[in-house]
Amino acid sequence: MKKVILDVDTGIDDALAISYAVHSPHLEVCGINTTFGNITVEEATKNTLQMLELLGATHIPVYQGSSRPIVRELTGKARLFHGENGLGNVVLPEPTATAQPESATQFLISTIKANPHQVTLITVGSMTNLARAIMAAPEIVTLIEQVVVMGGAVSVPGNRTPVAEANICADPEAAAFVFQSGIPLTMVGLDVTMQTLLTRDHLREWRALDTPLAHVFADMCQVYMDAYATVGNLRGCGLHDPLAVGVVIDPTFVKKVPMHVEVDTSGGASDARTIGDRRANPAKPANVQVCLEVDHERFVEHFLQHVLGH
Amino acid sequence: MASKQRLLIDFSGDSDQAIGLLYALQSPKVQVSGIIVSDAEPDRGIQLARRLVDQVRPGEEIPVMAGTQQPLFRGEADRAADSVMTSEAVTFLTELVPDPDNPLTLVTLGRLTTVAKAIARKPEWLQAVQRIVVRGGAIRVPGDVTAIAEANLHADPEAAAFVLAAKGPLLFVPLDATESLGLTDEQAALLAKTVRGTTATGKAGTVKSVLGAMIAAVAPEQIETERLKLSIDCHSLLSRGALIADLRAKPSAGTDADVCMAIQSEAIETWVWQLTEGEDRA
Repeated sequence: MKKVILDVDTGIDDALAISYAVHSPHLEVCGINTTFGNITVEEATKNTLQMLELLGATHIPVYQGSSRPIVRELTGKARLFHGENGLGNVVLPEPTATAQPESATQFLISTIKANPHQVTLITVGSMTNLARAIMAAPEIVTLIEQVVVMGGAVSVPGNRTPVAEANICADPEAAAFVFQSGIPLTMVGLDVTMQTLLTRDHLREWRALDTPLAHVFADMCQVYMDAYATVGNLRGCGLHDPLAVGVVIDPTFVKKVPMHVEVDTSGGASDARTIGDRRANPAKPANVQVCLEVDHERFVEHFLQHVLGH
Repeated sequence: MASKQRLLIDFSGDSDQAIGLLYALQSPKVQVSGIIVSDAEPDRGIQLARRLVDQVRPGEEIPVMAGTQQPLFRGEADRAADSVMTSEAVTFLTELVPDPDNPLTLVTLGRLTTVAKAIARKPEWLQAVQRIVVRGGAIRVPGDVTAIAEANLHADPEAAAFVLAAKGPLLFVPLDATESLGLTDEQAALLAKTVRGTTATGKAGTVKSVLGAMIAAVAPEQIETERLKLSIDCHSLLSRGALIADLRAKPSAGTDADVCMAIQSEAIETWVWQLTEGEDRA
């Protein structure tokens, strides 16, 4: 079993990713760190605790992370996509458990140090907790197995601006810092996640299963898909965060290309763009494995088989 | 009555860009109405342009003039005389008058500084041009100076952004449209030698985009265009000079302009072949 830590801003597709990871027989989820992004960090913590209770996975500890970007002020939430509460306005029972007293950054550092070369971090929200951890303990760069990032867009348009993806937009300086840190990084960006698709037919299949979890996911994803339709994507919604988990479960879902990638932090039209040097003779050596192709049918099938458990 | 396509060409004076000038001068469909050299040392480009005119169109009176020498913004220490003088080409552009019977196309093969200054001085002249064909930008493909920026827009992004904002009849010809044109490095070098008369390097990528821009200007029936929302980054250390197109499903950011997306390459390949084969035999 592969030891993973999830770093989430739970969020609808974050909830799917958590469920997919918790139900995977290949992954041992050591803990879940929360961050801001789709919603505030407090909401992310609450939603994560609620999701774990719904999944019957309360043994997995939750650590609250940063409440704001490392440099900038906190900006608006993604209410259009994730609803007022982050879970598509689906109301779950109040959580009975609370987050751990340790911070997300402390947990990340101590777990990596206690398990050298064994821990994979999957970030599906802002990269703030990881940036702070590297600032605090640079040695984790060589002790972590790898970081899989859901974020960015190298060869396709952005989803927040013409060139920028939402998770990078949430804290561009944190992303820029992580990308230039030398940490082994796999980027699961819109290049591949926009090729994955959850459709309304899938939601009908979930509802037909008639389990509490299937109904919750179907209700949440309905909201997500409606939001997608307003920005011109009518066929369904992308499985952004679940694909980052999928790449850890089975790396053959994607094709990776080593590339030099830098993050724009200018605050202008190119802010938060992940600039990949795709020239024949790039100016600098590769620092990121960028996923550019995905076997989306095989991935979506695997995801659907495991996301609801048995 | 089939009248000739009137063309104004603004280039940097280098031999790769002069290949575009040669193409226009040799084309029976084209009347070159003026040549602008926007370069720090315009004299070499002016001499080159005059020599090409004498070779291809002997006896024809084609004005060849200096454009702006420096980009809009530059270091304080690098102040050149043209910062306080209006270049001959800026005056020429601002004095253009509409002639509906003989439409005029302006092609910029280099940076957009001269056009920007002429628009700033008297924007009405834009009415006199049917099209401004801008060789520049890289949208989906990598840039040629940085990972994302193309040389012409990178050389003066503020001028390019200013021209875009003026909403003239712009047609961008980015590297996306010209990369697939069939032209080898050897052919590019031979073409460069043809115009320079000496050893010149000739970069295939540059020559392809120069000839692509000329095709877009003189044979619009051979290109495909798309209307896109564009912006040009002027602020970022990493992204300066990048041409940003809003390619999202529902575009909302940027200024509308036409962009050449594809070029039928047969005509250009035939021209290149004839010229380079001739050079081989000579």
